[in-house]
Amino acid sequence: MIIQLILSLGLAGCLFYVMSLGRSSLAMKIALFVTVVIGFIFVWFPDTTSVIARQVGVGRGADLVMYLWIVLTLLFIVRLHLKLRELTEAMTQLARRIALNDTEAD
Amino acid sequence: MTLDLDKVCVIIPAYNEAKMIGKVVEEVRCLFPNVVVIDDCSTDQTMRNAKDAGAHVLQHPINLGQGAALQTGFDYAMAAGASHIVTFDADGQHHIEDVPRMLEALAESGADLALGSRFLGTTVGMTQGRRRLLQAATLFTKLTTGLSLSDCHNGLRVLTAKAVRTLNLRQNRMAHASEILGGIRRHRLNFIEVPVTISYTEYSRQKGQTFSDAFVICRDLIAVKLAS
Repeated sequence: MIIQLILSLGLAGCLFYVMSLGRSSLAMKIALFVTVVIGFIFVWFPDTTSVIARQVGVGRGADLVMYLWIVLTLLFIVRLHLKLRELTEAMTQLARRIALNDTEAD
Repeated sequence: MTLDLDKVCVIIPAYNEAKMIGKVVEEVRCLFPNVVVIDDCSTDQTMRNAKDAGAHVLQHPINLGQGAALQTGFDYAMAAGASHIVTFDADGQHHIEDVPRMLEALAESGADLALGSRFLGTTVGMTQGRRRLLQAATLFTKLTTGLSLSDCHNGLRVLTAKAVRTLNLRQNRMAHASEILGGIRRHRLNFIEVPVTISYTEYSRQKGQTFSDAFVICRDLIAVKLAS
C-alpha cells in the first residue's frame, strides 16, 4: 500500500496545481481535473484498468495506462510548442518596436 | 506612368550578408532612392556596409528571421508614408531593372501586388534539384490556397500600401512566403505575375533554402493554424 500513498501524494500535488490555475481556460482545467480523478481511480482500484483494457482491446491494464500516458505526453508537447510560439510572437513585437524606435533616434 | 519614386520603398532583409549587401544596395539606389535594410542581428559587417552604401538601416536586437524582418520593413515603410513597397533579396539574385516594369504592370492592371516569376522570366544557373523543389512548392500552393502561380517562392515583389496594410506577417521565418499567398487568398487581394530574372551564384546557392526546409515550413503553417 506504500506505492498507493506515494502516487496519491503526487496526484494531490497535481490537484493543487489545477486549483491554482485560477482564471486560465476552463476547458484546460476540466481536462486536467478529469485526468487527476481518473488517476486516483486507477491508483486505488487498479483492477479497473484491466477491465477497461480488455474492453478496448488492450491485453493488460498496465499497457493501457502506458499508452494513455504516451498520448497525454505528446499532447502536452504540442501545447508547449504553441505556448512557445505565443511567447516568440510577443518577443517579435517587442524587438520590432525597439528596431523602429532606434531608427527614430538616429 | 506618373509614379513618385520617393514614395517607393525598397526593403531588403539581411542576415550576415556583409559580402554582398553593399553592392546590392548601390545597385538598387541607382533606380530607387529609398532603400531600407533590415539587419536581422547579423554578427558581421552587414549593418556598416549597408549604411555606407546609403541604405537606411533598421536593426533587430535579436535574430528573428526573414519574415519578421519583412514585417518590420513594412511597418517602417507605412509609417514613412510609402505608396509602394518592393521586397528584394540581399544575396544579389534579383535584378533591380525588373522593378520598374513590375511597377508599370501593377499600375496598368490596378492590382494590389505584383509577384516576380522566374519561370515566366529567365533564370541563370538554376540547378535541377532547385527547379524540382520549386515545382513541388508550386503544387503545394495550388493545393493549400487554390492559387495558380508559376513561381510561389520568389522574394521579389511589389506591394501597394493597401496590400501591406492588409497583410500582417506572423510567420517569422521561412513560411512567410506561403503566408503572403494565404493572405492574398483570404483577403481576396488582386495580384499579377511579372517575369523577372533570377541569377543563381555560388553565394546565393549557399544561402538558399534546402529540401528539409520544406518540412519546417509545413510545420510552421500548421502551428499558426492551431494557435489561432
